[in-house]
Amino acid sequence: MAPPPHSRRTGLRPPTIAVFAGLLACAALADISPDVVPQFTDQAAKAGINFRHINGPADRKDLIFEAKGGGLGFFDYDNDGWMDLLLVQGSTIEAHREGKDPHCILYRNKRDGTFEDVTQKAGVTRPGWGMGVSFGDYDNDGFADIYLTFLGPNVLYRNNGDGTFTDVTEKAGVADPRWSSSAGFGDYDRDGDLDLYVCNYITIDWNNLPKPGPGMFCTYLGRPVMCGPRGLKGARDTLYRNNGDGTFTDVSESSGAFDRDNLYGLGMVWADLDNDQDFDIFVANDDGPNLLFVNDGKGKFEEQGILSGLAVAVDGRNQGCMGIDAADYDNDGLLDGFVTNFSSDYSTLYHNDGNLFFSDITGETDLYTAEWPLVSWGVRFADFNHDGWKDIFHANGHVTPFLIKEKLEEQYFQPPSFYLNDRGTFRDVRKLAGPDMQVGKCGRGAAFADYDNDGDTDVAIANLNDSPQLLRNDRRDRNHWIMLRTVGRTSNRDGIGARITVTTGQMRQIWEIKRTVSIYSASDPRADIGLGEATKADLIKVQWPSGKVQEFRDVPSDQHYVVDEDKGLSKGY
Amino acid sequence: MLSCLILGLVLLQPGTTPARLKEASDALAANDIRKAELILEKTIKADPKSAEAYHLLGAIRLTERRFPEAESHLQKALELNPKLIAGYIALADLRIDQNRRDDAAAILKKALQIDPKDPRLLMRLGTAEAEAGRIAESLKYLEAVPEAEATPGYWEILGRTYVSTGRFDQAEQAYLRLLKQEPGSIATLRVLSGIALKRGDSPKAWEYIAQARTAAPNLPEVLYDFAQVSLVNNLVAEAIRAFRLLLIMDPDNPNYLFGLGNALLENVNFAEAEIYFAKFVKLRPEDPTGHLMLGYSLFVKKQYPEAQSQLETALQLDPNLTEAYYHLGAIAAALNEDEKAVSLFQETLRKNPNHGLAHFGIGKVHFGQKKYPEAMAAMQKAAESIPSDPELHFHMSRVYAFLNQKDKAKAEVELYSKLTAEKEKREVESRRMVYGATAAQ
Repeated sequence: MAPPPHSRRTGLRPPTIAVFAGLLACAALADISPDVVPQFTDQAAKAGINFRHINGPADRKDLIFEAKGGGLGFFDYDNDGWMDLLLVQGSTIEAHREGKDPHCILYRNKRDGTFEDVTQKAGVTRPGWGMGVSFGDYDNDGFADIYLTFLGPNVLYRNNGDGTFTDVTEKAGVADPRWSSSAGFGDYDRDGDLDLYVCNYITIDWNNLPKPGPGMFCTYLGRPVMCGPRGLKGARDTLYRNNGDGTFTDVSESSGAFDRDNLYGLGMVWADLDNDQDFDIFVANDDGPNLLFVNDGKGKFEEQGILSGLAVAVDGRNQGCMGIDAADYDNDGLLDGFVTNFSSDYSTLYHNDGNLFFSDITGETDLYTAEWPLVSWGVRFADFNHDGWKDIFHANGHVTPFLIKEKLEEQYFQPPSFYLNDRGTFRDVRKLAGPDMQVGKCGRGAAFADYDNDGDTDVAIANLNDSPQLLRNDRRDRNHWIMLRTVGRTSNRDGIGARITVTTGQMRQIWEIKRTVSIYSASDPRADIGLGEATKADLIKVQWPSGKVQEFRDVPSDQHYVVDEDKGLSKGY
Repeated sequence: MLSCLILGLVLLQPGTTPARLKEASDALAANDIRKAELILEKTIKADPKSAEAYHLLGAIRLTERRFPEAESHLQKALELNPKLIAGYIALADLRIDQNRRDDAAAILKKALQIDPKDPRLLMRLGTAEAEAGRIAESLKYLEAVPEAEATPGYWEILGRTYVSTGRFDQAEQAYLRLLKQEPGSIATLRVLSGIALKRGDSPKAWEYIAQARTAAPNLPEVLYDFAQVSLVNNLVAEAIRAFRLLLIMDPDNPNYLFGLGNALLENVNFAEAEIYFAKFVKLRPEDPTGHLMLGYSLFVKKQYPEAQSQLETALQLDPNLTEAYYHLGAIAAALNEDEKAVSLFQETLRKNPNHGLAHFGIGKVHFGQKKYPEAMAAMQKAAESIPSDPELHFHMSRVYAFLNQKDKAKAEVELYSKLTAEKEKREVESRRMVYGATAAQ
């Protein structure tokens, strides 16, 4: 049989994208000064984090949920100005069936680089097969609350403000009984309280669990493996509107943010992608098109994933998307997108061309080939070296343990990825980022925070059936920074959705306040803004979800600040 | 019934001609030619009027390519029994071996006058006519064979003849009858797969070749076909696995190297594809398609000068290699050399006016130039050639959106979604063939 006459792929990108090709030209690693590359050192053990993730047997994954999951999150539950850490725990089939699931672990930040387990004291001990975590001050009392996702049902803990939490799931009406993955709080109707979007993945029938391969969709590289997600029934996502009285209403269908095809939802981010000052919802789906729910500003959404270009790869192909983030990587004032994907594919960088048009420009970047053997999960755009350009960090790790014994290009244990943004050019610098960045793990969720309050973004990675990594960012550059925490008054207390614009000389950066990016995980809501060589920010503009705008001029660098919607700017964590 | 049995026993008494002929037939069946010859020579001595003995001996001489003796024995057989159909058939076979196909046909036609319904004659005559290129005549005879008499050989000849006339549906039916008679026949399943491809039913082609693969999982030719048909069906992962297996068996086989490279390209694994195409080009430097694909792999890795060099080499080897012009156009487009890109796409279209991707390429260039009406016009032309390409409709939706034609944009999104869903469904069905449904624990 003759080979097909031509490859269907053209390799030809829409030329609007090609314009960026010049900007994004590859560069060799050799010309990167080591000083600009942050060193990440794993502090988990030293910090007293002795958590070990359980998720079925480590060497065998017969069921898809044994291979998924593992989120974590940074939040300041006791309002002491230091980021605490919550680690989601999985379970085993046996424990789950016997009702002996474990529970999450909450570590309080002791402000000296170490953490202490306060789970029992805090009362966050509801057992379950945990997947992810999200935080948000849903009742605007000034204390961040916890929403945990499980194989079902989910749990909402209200922060009592005294170091303890109360399970208010039933009263709030957010006990989604399905297998939920990621969830995020955002105020879509700008009524001053946080609504909640929950990604659901697969419908589990505990009495009829899919048998591992060799069956349809149960093989990988010719080996029998767990089934799914393809071939298994997807579970519909949910959008809950906050009623403002401690309860929520499922408005998925009525609002138009409706996951009509029960796609395999894994990651989500609230982001104002069309710059119209309201939150849109961007959902990463495994093995299906991503969803973009565009907010009309009147509480209704229209799905425009395909039309916008965010749903699929450049060639119109569905990808196996997992982690997600949206930020302005090229400082053009528009939020771009990044989704992490399964192996034998690339994680996708979408450039925002304006007017809700996005172009997959991964093909023009270094991200493209480096991504190939990776199964990629938690991700964030963040300016790790404070040069004013947002870099990309993501966790990696495969799902099929048979690879442990195989000498294939795809490995089970994979180090994280770290790409420095050099004025719009991404460079893979992981190998220059320290020995702990060379360690292969089965990474899943990743959370980002300045946990040591030294003014830069550190990373925590939840590793499947393993201990987490706490990768402290030890910068070697001499760049300057400011970090801003928002406190809403008319807007939601967290200030989620506030758009911060920082101008320094010719450079203008934007940052949108959010807690949920990545997958299964929640991050420090503070804005970490790199100023490069500038010792002050010429202008900081804060556009609140309420519509209020504040401006602060000549703000000195290298400080943590609090921006209060009523009181303005002050120093503090 | 009893009388027949007694008669049979009498006729097969040792030393009688029927008994000797039976013994000779048994020896032939056991491939003991020497023994058969001795028996037949003895038979002729004892019974010089045994036409069957002469016929069998003639047939043996024919297989030994001792043509004069074969001629003599077969003529003698027909002289002794002018109605001996098997004799005519053997004589016709001799004529074919002597490259006297018309004479062979004349002999068979003469025999057909004796028994116009003899299936062996109809089959031979059909075959002879087909081999002489007289397809209509051939089918006249072949189609006259009663189905009850049809042998596997018959179905194969009939199927092959239908294929040569482009009557693929009928060919498929003939080969399906053959498959019924020889269940699980790898050869037949491969042919059926090829026929299904010919009639444009690639999912069916995959179904057949997947059956063959299940029956013979490590047979190189089956794996190769399986890989290729998987690729045609966009079952890229299956294709890659099959090609990798083939290369384990035969690491330097150019076809496998090319195939894997091609499959990896489909999987957007350009870096690895380049390695295999480079190996292919090293083994077959004279093959323009190798340079073409290597050029393409280099192009997508942004190694534009190297890519252009390979594509130009391909064009030197084959100036009519349309795809090389197309990919050179794609490189020009990537380099923002819009005018050159359009010119090369147009050259592609001069060589193949139905090259949908070249129209699509022009459309993308115009899209980049924000010439949305022109982009749409080119993409609409592309849609005439590649109407089921989801990527095209994905882009058309975007162009319509830029043209502020929201309804059309949405319609294109719908079409894109439908085409993608159909592709997905096809893949599910194909997988179901190989793996069966997901079992419950």
